[in-house]
Amino acid sequence: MTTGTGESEIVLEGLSKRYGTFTALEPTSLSVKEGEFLTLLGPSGSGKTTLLQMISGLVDPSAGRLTVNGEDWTHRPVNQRGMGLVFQHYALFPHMTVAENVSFPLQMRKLPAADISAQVEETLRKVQLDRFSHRFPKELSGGQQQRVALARCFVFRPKIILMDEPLGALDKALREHMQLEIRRLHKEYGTTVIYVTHDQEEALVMSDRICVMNHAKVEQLGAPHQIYSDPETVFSATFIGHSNVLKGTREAADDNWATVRTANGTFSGRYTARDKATQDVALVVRPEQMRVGPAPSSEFEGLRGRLSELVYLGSETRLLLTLADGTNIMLRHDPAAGAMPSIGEEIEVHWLKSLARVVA
Amino acid sequence: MSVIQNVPGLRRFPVGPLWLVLPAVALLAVFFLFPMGRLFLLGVQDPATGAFTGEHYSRVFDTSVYWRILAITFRIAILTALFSVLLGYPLALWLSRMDSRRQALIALLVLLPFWTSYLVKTFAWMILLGNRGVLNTLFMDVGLIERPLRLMYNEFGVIIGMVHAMMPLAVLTMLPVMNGIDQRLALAAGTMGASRSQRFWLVYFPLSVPGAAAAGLLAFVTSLGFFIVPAFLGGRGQTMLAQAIITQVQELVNWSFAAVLASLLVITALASIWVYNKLFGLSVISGAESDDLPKRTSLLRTGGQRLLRFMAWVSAPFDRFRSPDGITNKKVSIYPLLALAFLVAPILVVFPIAFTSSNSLQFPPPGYSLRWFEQYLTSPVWISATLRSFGVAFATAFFATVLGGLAALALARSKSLWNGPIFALILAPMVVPRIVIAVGLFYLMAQMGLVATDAGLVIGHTLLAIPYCFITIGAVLKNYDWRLNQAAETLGAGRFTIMRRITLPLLRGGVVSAGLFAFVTSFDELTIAIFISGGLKTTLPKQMWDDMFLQLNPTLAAVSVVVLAIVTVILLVAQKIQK
Ligand SMILES: Nc1ncnc2c1ncn2[C@@H]1O[C@H](COP(=O)(O)OP(=O)(O)O)[C@@H](O)[C@H]1O
Ligand SMILES: [Mg+2]
Repeated sequence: MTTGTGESEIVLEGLSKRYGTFTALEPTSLSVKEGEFLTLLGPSGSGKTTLLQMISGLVDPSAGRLTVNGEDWTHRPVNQRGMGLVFQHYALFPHMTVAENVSFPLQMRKLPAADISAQVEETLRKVQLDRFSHRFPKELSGGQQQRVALARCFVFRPKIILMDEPLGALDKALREHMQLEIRRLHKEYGTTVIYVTHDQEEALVMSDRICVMNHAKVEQLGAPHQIYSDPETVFSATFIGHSNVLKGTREAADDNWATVRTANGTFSGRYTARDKATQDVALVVRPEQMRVGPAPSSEFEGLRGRLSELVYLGSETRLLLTLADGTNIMLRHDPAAGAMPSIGEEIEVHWLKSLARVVA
Repeated sequence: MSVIQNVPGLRRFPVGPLWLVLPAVALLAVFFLFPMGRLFLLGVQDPATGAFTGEHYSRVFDTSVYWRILAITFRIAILTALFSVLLGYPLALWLSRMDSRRQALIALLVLLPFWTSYLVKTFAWMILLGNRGVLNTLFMDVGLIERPLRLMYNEFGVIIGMVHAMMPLAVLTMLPVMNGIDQRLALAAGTMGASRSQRFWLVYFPLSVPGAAAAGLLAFVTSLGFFIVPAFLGGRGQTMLAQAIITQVQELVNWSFAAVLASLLVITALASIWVYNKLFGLSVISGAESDDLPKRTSLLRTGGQRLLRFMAWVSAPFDRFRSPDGITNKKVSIYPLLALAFLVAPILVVFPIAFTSSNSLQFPPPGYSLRWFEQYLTSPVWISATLRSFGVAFATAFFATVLGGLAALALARSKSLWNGPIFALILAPMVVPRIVIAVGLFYLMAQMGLVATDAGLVIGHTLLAIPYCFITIGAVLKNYDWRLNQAAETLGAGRFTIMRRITLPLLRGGVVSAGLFAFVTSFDELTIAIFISGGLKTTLPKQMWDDMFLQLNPTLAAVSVVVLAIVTVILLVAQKIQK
């Protein structure tokens, strides 16, 4: 993966948006490096589009500052930002052919006609649409329309491209294909990309860094592996991949370690919560880190529960355990660990303490 | 789905996009609201001193003639509305079940009579219903009757002419509502065991009622202010309010009385609209989206439901005459074809008369010739009237499209509290009887020196055409994807480039048909022309009106053919462009 190579290109300082008394985005600060692929990931209504549109200039921030390459762009007009924006439903001009759509930004930049047709042709070739240049958007499939939208954006070589759930309307196979295509174009042009999605898998595949958002706030910002292995909040831990969560109160803690008292026992783990002030914490353990059987040494911790369900997923089988207080725990069945337990059976599970995390 | 988060270009106008309605609102304020107010005041003021008085009203109400006229006007308007809806409903239903291509084609047969001028239609009925008219000649020839029946100069003639004039409006009002009814609902009811009658009366019909009621309302309100049909097809006993107003203004120059009668007309029209709005909400008429639940008192509701169950029970025995699936009726339907024939055929009667070699309106013509077209083309009066009509119609089309289009654009984007009142003001010229607008305008323009000027006519016609343009362009805007503007803006386009390259080309169909409709509205317009066009230089409809009073002659048929041809061409062009 390419990581941002240059300086911070886009800097947000306390950028926020309110509609009347409703807060669409709490004050948010973050910076994006040149050439970076940053994904805004969160459920619907979490403020992703609002944040993206403030960067694009389509929405005026209520407070805060946006700088691009050190210049204050907070209130710069949209058409003078030179950012590319790819919309969810493409927003292709229905009365223009593919070629005319892709020419549009170049015409706005008053390029000579010869250059325009050369660049349009080249870009359409890159997205394998050169044969369709005289069709109207209506005459194309969803995936092809999506590629026109990408071509129209990449053709004027914007240094920054913003994409708002661009693949949301496509089916799964096409989406995966287009994910690779977008990555390829991103690398080829060295563009900075800010990408919005609510699909965690898509975020993991594509991003240099992921910005997890929830309830109009940034929950966590970091590289995909970092967010997966060291979640800072219960939301991050559960929104990206599956996590078993045992809520409780913090007993003892230093910078790195904390102990949590829960209804099912007292456990400890790496203390990754960003908010170290709160007593309300939770222990999270990923399903693949749990094993059936009693804890073999003091490196491990474990608990007991009743097997309530078996979920067969083809490549693996998952066990669903119900604890004494009703909490459910999920783990993978390890074929090497012996025979499949049967439903209703009381079983013990354990995990390596150093893999557990204490989050806020 | 992403919602439009923000409106580009809006931020730079602190007042929002609403300023675009200013030209239309200014025109309507000066030439519509203001004269309406003046007219109302004239009815309650002493003409000499200007002091307030109820004298004119009491004098009107003390005279039995006016009571009679009022009662007749109501009677005719109600009968017209009733028949138009009853006869139009099955036709609209039949049209609504076609696929959209066929529907667009066949709806032309409704649109054509809709846009044909009332004068041409009335003239055609005079040819048909006269003592020695087409029908009487036909009946006598086949020996059905011995002496001619009295088919016009009575209530029968008026009602048939009025229903013919209003039925297209009724059908075109009901059709969109019926198109919007999900056909699967009746199917679903069928799977739950509803018979064909039950499906219709308990599921389909209640959903179509707002459309039928809107059609009735529009037909009623339009009929209230009607004078062309009763003037030519009615006798003295069928004098309607609008005719009385014309007499007061043109012959008696009694402005106070005219004002009282006009006010009564407006009050009646507004009261009916108010009642309709209480019962159904205005969204069907205005075309605005509405999430309101039907406003109905529970008594009306339960009563209505009981009535519907009764209707389903009564009509159940006839179910077996219909196709078993009950949704599609594969059999050729006779009634809709008859209804279409009723709408179109009478108009066509002007064609043989236009080419007659005789001096009279005799049918069938004894021989054919082009002499009446020659007469028309060589008559300086007719030609100057035609040219004037064209000029005024072009100017009207331009101004009404620009003003109405800008207003539609503004209201589509504005979320201001002013939207409602502005919306009502722009649509008002459509529901206030034209005769009242014309009289008010005449009073004002006489003082401004605009009577007998082209400018006066253009202003008057623009007032009338703005609502049509507003609705037509508004309908296109409703489906307009505003994110395209955002997309263009992020690609570097400024506000005017977006307008020129994106918005206008995409709205082109709506804009052109708005212009064409405005053109036809002006080209066919008589009421305002009667007052504003002046004596010598007239417009085509005014010239026809004068001629029809003086002497019925085949030249009128030739002119009718010309008018029909022009309107048909325009309609076909509009239809083509809208696709
Ligand atoms: N123009 C607006 N007016 C009022 N509320 C808005 C507007 N735009 C967005 N919102 C609200 O702001 C919140 C965040 O919206 P959005 O940024 O679109 O979320 P996401 O893109 O993450 O789904 C939502 O609750 C939405 O309803
Ligand atoms: Mg969104």
